[in-house]
Formats: sequence, C-alpha cells, structure tokens
Amino acid sequence: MDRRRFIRLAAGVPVGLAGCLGPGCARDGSLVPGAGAPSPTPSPGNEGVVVPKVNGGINLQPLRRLDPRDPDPTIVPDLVTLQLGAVYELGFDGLRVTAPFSDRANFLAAIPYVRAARALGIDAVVVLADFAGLSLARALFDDKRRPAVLRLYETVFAVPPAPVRPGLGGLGPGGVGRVAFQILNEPAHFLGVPPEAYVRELLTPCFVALKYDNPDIIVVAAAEVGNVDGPPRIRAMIEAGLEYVSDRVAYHIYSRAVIPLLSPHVKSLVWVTESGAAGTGLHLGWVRDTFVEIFDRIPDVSRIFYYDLFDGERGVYRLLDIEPDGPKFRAVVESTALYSFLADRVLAKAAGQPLLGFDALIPDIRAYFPTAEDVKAYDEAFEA
Amino acid sequence: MSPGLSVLLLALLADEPATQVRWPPATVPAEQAGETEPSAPEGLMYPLGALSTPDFLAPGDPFELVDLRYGFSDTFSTTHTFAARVRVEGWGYLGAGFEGERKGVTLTGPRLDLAASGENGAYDLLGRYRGSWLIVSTRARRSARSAGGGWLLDPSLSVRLSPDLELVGRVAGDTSRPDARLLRSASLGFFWQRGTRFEAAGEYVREYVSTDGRFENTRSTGTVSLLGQVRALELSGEAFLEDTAGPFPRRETGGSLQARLPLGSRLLVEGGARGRFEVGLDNRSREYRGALTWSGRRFILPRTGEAAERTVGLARKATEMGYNERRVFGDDERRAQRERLSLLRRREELGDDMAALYRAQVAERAVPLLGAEMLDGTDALAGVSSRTARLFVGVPWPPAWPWQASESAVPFLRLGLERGRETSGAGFRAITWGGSLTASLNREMDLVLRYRHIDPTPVEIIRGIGKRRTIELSYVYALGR
Repeated sequence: MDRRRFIRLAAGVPVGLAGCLGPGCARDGSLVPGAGAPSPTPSPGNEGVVVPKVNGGINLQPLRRLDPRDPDPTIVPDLVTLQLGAVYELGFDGLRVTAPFSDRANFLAAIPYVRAARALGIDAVVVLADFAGLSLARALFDDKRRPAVLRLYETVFAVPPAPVRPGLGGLGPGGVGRVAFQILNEPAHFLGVPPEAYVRELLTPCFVALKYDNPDIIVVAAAEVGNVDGPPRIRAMIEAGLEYVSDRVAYHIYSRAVIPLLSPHVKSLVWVTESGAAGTGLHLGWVRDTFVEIFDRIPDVSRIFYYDLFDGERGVYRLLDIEPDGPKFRAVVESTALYSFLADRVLAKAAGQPLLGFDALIPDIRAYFPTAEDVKAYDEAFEA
Repeated sequence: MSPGLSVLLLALLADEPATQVRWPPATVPAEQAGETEPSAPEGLMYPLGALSTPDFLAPGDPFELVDLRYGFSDTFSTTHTFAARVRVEGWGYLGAGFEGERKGVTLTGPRLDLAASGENGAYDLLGRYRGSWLIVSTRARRSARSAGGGWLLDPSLSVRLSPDLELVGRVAGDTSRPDARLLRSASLGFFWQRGTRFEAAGEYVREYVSTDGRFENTRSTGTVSLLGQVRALELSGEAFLEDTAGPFPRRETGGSLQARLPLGSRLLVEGGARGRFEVGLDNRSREYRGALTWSGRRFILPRTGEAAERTVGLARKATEMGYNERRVFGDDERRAQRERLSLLRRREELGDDMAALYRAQVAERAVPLLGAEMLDGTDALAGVSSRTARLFVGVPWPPAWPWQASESAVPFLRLGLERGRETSGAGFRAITWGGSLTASLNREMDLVLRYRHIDPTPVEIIRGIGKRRTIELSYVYALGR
C-alpha cells in the first residue's frame, strides 16, 4: 500500500493507529530502538534541559486507535504519548498533522497532538484537509460556511496552550510552539482542483478570513504532489498570486529530480511540508544528503517536514512501527539508521547535558484531550 | 416568433425560385477541375423540396433575409439567442442579434467589415478594411468598469506579396498598462497557399504576460503549421516551441498531427494526436483522436475535388482584380467570401465562378450515415484525464438503408450519442451523456435538438454546482450555404 492509498484508506475509516509505552520501552516513555540504535535517553526525573530541537519537522497521523477499522472514537492516551514522545525526544521542532473536518473522530484526535506539541515549544502545522471527499473544500469555498469552519479551527487549535515550563525555545507566546494552518493538501492531485482555482477560490478567501481574525496564525499554502508533476502546478499557483495570499509557500519533494525544478525565485519562505524516500534503506541518505541538497539548491527553504513518523505500511516511509504489546502498545524503530542519525544530532547538541523526558514535561497527555467545548464547537460548526 | 412559425415561413422563402440564376461557363473547365461532374443543385430533392442555386449577385429589394438563427439553451436558466442578417440592396449586409444579455450588430460592405457588441458595460468592436494588397484590421475590447474598464487593442496588418503568399503582423496593447507596459504582444508571420493541396503558415510571437503573482513573464513562441494533400491522404500538422522568461523560466514544445484518408469511396478514416511537453519534465498534456465515417455517397476531401479547384480559381481571379482573397475550403468560409465578392463593383465578372463553385460544393456534399469517434486525453497540470466516445447514425433523403449508396442522396436526419468521462483528483469521475438530433430540411436550413446530462467535476462540486441537464434547440437558416 503506498502513501496515498494509506491516506485515502484512512479517510474511509477512523484511523485507529495508537500506541502506548509498552514494557519494552527503554525508559518510561522512550522508544525501543532497533539493534545498535542509540537513543537520546532522557533523564528520568525533573533534572535536565529540554531536548534541543535540531531535526526540523515531521509528519504524523492523528492516531486514535491502532486498528484503522476500529469505530470506537475513544482516543487511546498511550498512542498519543508514544507518537508525541518520539517527536519530542528526537528533537523535531515541528509536526504536521491533518485535522479532517468531515471526520469527527479524527478531527478531535488531532487536538491533543497539536496542543501538547505547542505546549512543548514545538510548532504545529494543522492541515485543513479531509482524507477523502470534498466536504471541507466545499465548505471553504462557500462564503456562508467558511467563517464557521475557520472559526472552529481557530478556536480549537490556534489558542496557545500554557507552556509546560519556561525556556522551551518555541517562537509562540511564552515560548510555546506556533500554529500554522495549511489550506488543503495537494489540491490538484487529491481534489481535482486546478492550481489557479485553488489560489483564487479557496486559498485567497481563507487567508483573508484567517488574517482578519487572528494575524498570528501562519497560513501555509497547499503543496502539490512531490514528483515531476508538482513543480508546474506550484508555478501556476505562484503565477496566480499564491505568495500574496499565504505566509509560507509549501513544496513536497519525493524525487530529487524536482529539486532543480522548484525555482529559488519566490518571495516567501518555503516549507517543504512532506519529503521522504520510499524504502527504509533509503531513509538515512535522503535526510542526510537530500535534505542538504534541498536547502542548498532552494535557498528559500527554511524547514523540511520528514514523511513520516508512523503509518500502516512496513518498509516504505515510516520511521517506526507500533505494535500491540499485551494490553498496551510499544514502538519499534524500523528505520534504525535514520533514527540513530537523528538521535546523534540531539545528543551532540545537548553536549552531555541531561535531557528532560517527555513524561517529566507531560505526565498525563489527557490534559490536552478534546474538551466538551471542543466537541460542542465541532458539532455546531459541522451542523452549520 | 416561435421556432415552428419561423421554420414554416423560411421554408416558404427558401422554396421560392431564384429569379436570376447564373450558370457556367466556369473559369475552370470541368475537365481540368477534377473528377466530379457537378450535378445541378436543382436536380436534388430535399425534405422541403428542390432548392435552386441562389443568385449571389441579386440585390436585396431593398432587403433580403440571408441569415436567421434562433436558439435556446436551458440548464439552470434559459438563454435565448437570436441573429438575423439581411442583404441591403447591393451595397452590404446588415446583421443584428443577441445572446442572453449580449447584443450586437454587424455591417459588411464591399471592402469594410464593422461589428460591435456589448454586455453589461463591456464592449467588443471590430473594424476591417480589405485593400487590393493589404488587410487592416483592428479589434478593441473594453472590459466592464468592475473589471478595470481598460481597452484591449489588437490591430493587425496582412500584406499580400503574391496570390499565394501573405505576410501578417499583429500587435496587442492594453490601455490599463499592466506592469506599466502598453504593448502586450507583437507577432510576425506568413501564410502560403500552393494550389489546392498545400498550405504552410508560420508565426513568431513575443508576449508580455502579466501574472497575478505581480511579475511579468516574457514569452516567445515560434509556430509552423503545414497541410498537404498527398494523393488520397490529407495530412496536417503543427509544431511549436515556446520559451518563457521570468521567475520560472521554462521551455515547452509540442504539436499536433492529423490525417484523413478515404478507404474506398464511402469510408473515411481519421486520426490525430496532439501533445505539449515541457523540456525536462514528462508529458504535459496529450490527446489522441480516431474516427470512422461511413457515407451514403462518394466522399470527397475538401482539397481534392472540383470545388477545391474552383476555390483556387475564384480566389486567384478576385485577387487579380484587386480584391485580395484567400483560398477557403469550408462551406461557411466560402459563403462569406461569396457575400463579400457579391458586393464589389466588378461582381458581374465573378458571378459565374461563384455559382460554379456553389454547384461543385453541392455536388461534393457529404452524406454521413454511420460514424464513431474516440478521444482520449490527459492534462498533467490540472491532473485530469478524459475519454469521450461518440456515435452517430444518419438518414439520407430520400430515406435509404445505410448500405445503400445513392449519388442523389442529401443529408436529412442525424442522431448522435456521446459519452464522456473525466477523471481527476483522487479518482473522482464525472460522466457526461448526450444526444442530438439534427434535421437538415434542406441545404440552408437545419433544426437541431441537443440534450446533455452532466455530472459535476470535483471543482464544480466545490463551487456548489451539481448534476445538470441541458436542453438546446436551435434553428439555422443560411441562404447560399
């Protein structure tokens, strides 16, 4: 199953990928690396420094249950802890997660990821996109429905949480992470929306509305597919005025061939919101060498989000696997070479200082779970 | 006037015998002109009876109706279209019409064409003067105030260097001066016609394209097109190279190739391909087409018969007389040319040639009885692929079975069916079904009924446009077609 099939599959059923820190974890909360993979093992207590954010961003799924066919909307806390713990401990400075408007359970499941990440000083890119169907795009086009939908995302995701402690280094208020809204995902590829129509009829009204309500929200334009079909679409979007109705231009890069095609002549900052290589054995080379090539050849790129932390397909893109382990779950590092590379960078930056563990900062992830107000806001917006 | 009433009245008008029928000798002797001995149009029977050759030189008295078109199209709302044109004595053609909110008038004189139309504060004006060796043309379009209110000006100049060769230059300007530049494009090209069987055209265009991204692209495009009749095979093609300079420089190339080949006397095979490629990338867009047509009588390609020879003769003679005419090979273009020539001071010298050309056209008429067509295309930029299949069945007049050939047959009924599928996004499919029924009451008069059922594309669903059904009915009367 390829990446896109996974996304489409996930649209049809509640994504139930979940995990918790199982008995095999290296500490109460860290991962089980593959053989020989060092771990930036955090300090078990409250002594130490926050894990340095040195590894860019990463994509993750809004895991709720491990079995994607599980209709139970309940969010398994350990799965959120497992994924977010990995994001924090591997020194990522941003995460990107989809909050699908037309999928109530998964929309609500994205909430703890965003809130807890921001509380840790990690930026959160919330993708306003459905895993399947056109409901959200239709609502964002509709002048009557758009305000309610955007207000829902603002209400639920844009309110900054309290920082878990001072000195997190985030660029949001009080050192928390910032929030960015990415308006749809690969609109021509997934939705059949031509580039010019996307900019003029979807991105522009959303940008105007979001900036009017909350200028602090970073509006990220949708990227297009990361193969050679993508650059002409991005070019058409920029020629349609994309840079004037977004704060960040976004690219997806899954092929080195597209790097020279993505012109450096843009005026905005560029975030590569998805980039990765198909095949576990290629992961390290992609991050170690191709990420450098991207930064070198596209000077406007300021951040790359690796694709991805976990998905349902073994041996393709994911960094780690999540397995049931008795009544709980455990994470097993699948891309050990890349994991070691990322962990080494964290350790090098920490320069021997003890690192604060995820559990020390967020002892109970349920503090960031959807509230009754969130559920009410969602239901009202959806009904509208 | 209701469509039914206008049909009846115009049928009566059309049946009225012409008072001054001019007839050969043609400029081109029949034995040189081609294989077909033209049958007299008067010998043919249409559902509304016989139709005589019009007198192309007859003045209006003071008016003569030459065009009447009415149609309506109903989807979410109904749009009516109406157009009428009359010949005013011997000095010109005056037309008026509307389509929805757009209203317009046209005036065709011996050497001058004028047209004006407008809709909600937007106007479109056209002026064209045809001299003995040049054609000067200017189009001016004014956008509505809400869209900026500027004027787009497109003057062009065509200089005839010989009966076969023209040089054509164009410029375009925008008074709203996007990117502080009035000039938007300039081009220079040529058009060369050799006999009936060869045409070549070439053009170089330099454009300044203003984008909503607040930068300007400079685009240079070179295009060459060729059309040749090689024995029974008609081949046509085009190639271009487009170079865009700007923040996103790129070079695109592509072209098209079409072929038409009669197999036997009654089967026509057509095929073609079109593609656009960006250098360094995969195929940007492509389209393939194939079609088979079974005819009720011998099929003659437009550049192989007597009509083609007479077209060349008429255009050459008119040009020698200082009237600067191209060779044209379509029925509508030939009719427009005849109308122009019929207004000239020396029109009497061309009357026989025009009538002979008309007779040859009638003699070479197509009577399609069965046909199938398939189109397949993809556009990588929009992420859309499409496939369309069309079928038609025709009934000639007098009615006959499809396998029966008749040289006296004329087109009568034609039932067409169409199914199209457009796939875009993550597998969204939009299916279009359609059917049409055309009744050709005679050579000058058609009634057309069309129906289409259209699934929305994803972007239409997003825009709130759902499934829709379109019904169109149109009536066309065109004297001397």
